[in-house]
Amino acid sequence: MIRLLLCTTLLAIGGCGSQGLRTTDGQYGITWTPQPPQVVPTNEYFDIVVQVEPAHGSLRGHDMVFDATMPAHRHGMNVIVTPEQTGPDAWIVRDVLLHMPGEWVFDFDVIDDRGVLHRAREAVVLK
Amino acid sequence: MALLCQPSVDLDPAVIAFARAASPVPPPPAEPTNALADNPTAATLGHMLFFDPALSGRRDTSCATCHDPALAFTDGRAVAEAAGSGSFNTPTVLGAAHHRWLFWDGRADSLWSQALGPIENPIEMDGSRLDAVRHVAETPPLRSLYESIAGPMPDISDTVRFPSGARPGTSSWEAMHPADRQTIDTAFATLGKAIAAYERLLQPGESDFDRWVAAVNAGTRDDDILGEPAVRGLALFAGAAGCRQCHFGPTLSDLEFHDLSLPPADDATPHPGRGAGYPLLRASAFRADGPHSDAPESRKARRTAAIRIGTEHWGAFKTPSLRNVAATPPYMHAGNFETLTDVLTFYNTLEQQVRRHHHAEDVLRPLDFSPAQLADLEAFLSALTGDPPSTLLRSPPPETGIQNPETHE
Ligand code: HEC
Ligand code: HEC
Repeated sequence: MIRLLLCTTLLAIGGCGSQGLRTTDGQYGITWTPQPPQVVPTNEYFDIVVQVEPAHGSLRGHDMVFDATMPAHRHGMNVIVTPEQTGPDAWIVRDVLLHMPGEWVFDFDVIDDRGVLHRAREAVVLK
Repeated sequence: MALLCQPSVDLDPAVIAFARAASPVPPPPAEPTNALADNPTAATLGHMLFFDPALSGRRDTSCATCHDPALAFTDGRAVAEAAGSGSFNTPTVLGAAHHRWLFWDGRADSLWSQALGPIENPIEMDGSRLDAVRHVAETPPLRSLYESIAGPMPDISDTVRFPSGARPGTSSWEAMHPADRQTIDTAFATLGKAIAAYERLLQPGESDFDRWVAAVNAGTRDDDILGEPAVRGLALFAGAAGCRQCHFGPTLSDLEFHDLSLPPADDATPHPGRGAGYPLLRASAFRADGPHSDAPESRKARRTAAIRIGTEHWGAFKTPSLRNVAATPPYMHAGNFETLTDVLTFYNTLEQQVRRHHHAEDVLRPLDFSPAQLADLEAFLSALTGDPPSTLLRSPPPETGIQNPETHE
């Protein structure tokens, strides 16, 4: 309950994952959830569970690539992450490490069966 | 009564949150790749080895020569000097167990693999793994401790099969049978694991900063513990000065790497930093995911395999812990600055920065602080000096008969 409340407040800055995210072309919905501890931690390894929802008529998601960068600092993560597919539209990105506080930009790239890339982008501000 | 303790400096809740996340220092993180990490017998052996000059080629340099307990486990020099002259400043061993990567360039991924480096480094102890293992085998108190944690010491008495001075890069080492090299490597790794078990006991002690945070946590904030300048310094550190972008958490370090574009120090050619450390880590037989690790499949081990190196890591060095920083001059990877005042002058103007390439990370901005604000920052840094570890941990174990570097002149 407390966690839920905490996450509702933090949702504004994306620290608890998000549900309404879509690729820029609107073709795929992305739901992502950090775990543990359910709030994106600064400088601690954590996993991200990603669910891709193809809009009606879209091709099924074929592959998913995740990246995070700090554009203001001109750097990305110090780790390589390789999403692991756990179901038809589900992935887990293990051992993500966001080593600094500040604004990170998350990119979820869905690559469809024809090799076309659909990008969903979201800023996450870490304290 | 309560009025007397009334805090006189207004602190933003974010500053209080920063302070509470930085104190107290927790026990070192679990270390699955070293099965002996928290074994007291291993720590006793490691304690003896740390002070033992017989591990060096000329039998005159121990770890404690450069990591002197009387100087907060550093040597007070700009760059280390022993068998040869190095190009790196000697960091403290206090709290080293909290680091994710070891050495300024991160070329070791565990405390136990780090400990094996200086023994063979020609400019540090200039010894060899073969002689180190033989020394333990031939010194009864060391041997019995070794055998009680690792089982029977292999028989290496045959000096033809196990030639003295053999270490990678020497012809005698290359000529050894691979199985014999394996035997030596396994025993050598055990020595590193024992030294690491001792180093894990060298926690940064409680500082005025920790005592102040404890009072805050108890609801009885008392700025007399820190002094007003240090409280104002804390507010700057966690606020306008932006130090907390890289220096945060119990070690006051993000445990990762950044390029501050420091001016080259005297006698030091610019070092590629993490850019050079990473290939050395990958090549090491003592990696967390290597054959001598006690948990090569663990998450910790997988993290070594997942390191990403980008152009911004060229010239980047590990963010040092700021615990005990006032007790460990000179500063920066090449001992670039003699005093904390010099460090703060650097951050204040950034005039000394030398940009060596245009892929560098871009975080620092000149602070443009007044001398009074810089003095406050320095007061805060000085409040991070902790009580030293126990006399027992700071002295060579009595069994070794080695004199404490503190007590002999
Ligand atoms: C000649 C002086 C010298 C000797 C002897 C020496 N060291 Fe060091 N130590 C250094 C220097 C210099 C560095 C930093 C080198 C680098 O980063 O490349 C260092 C780094 C370290 C670190 C890493 C700290 C960090 O924050 O990354 C640890 C731990 C350490 N030494 C422990 C030891 C142990 C254990 C021994 C004995 C087996 C030892 N040292 C012997 C000078 C010395
Ligand atoms: C971009 C990350 C970053 C920021 C921001 C930053 N530092 Fe550092 N700091 C580092 C790194 C990395 C080093 C080591 C650099 C080297 O040796 O090449 C360092 C070194 C130091 C040292 C020397 C410690 C030693 O043992 O040698 C001090 C003191 C220090 N920083 C204090 C500060 C203060 C005070 C601030 C705020 C004004 C600050 N830092 C801001 C990353 C940062």
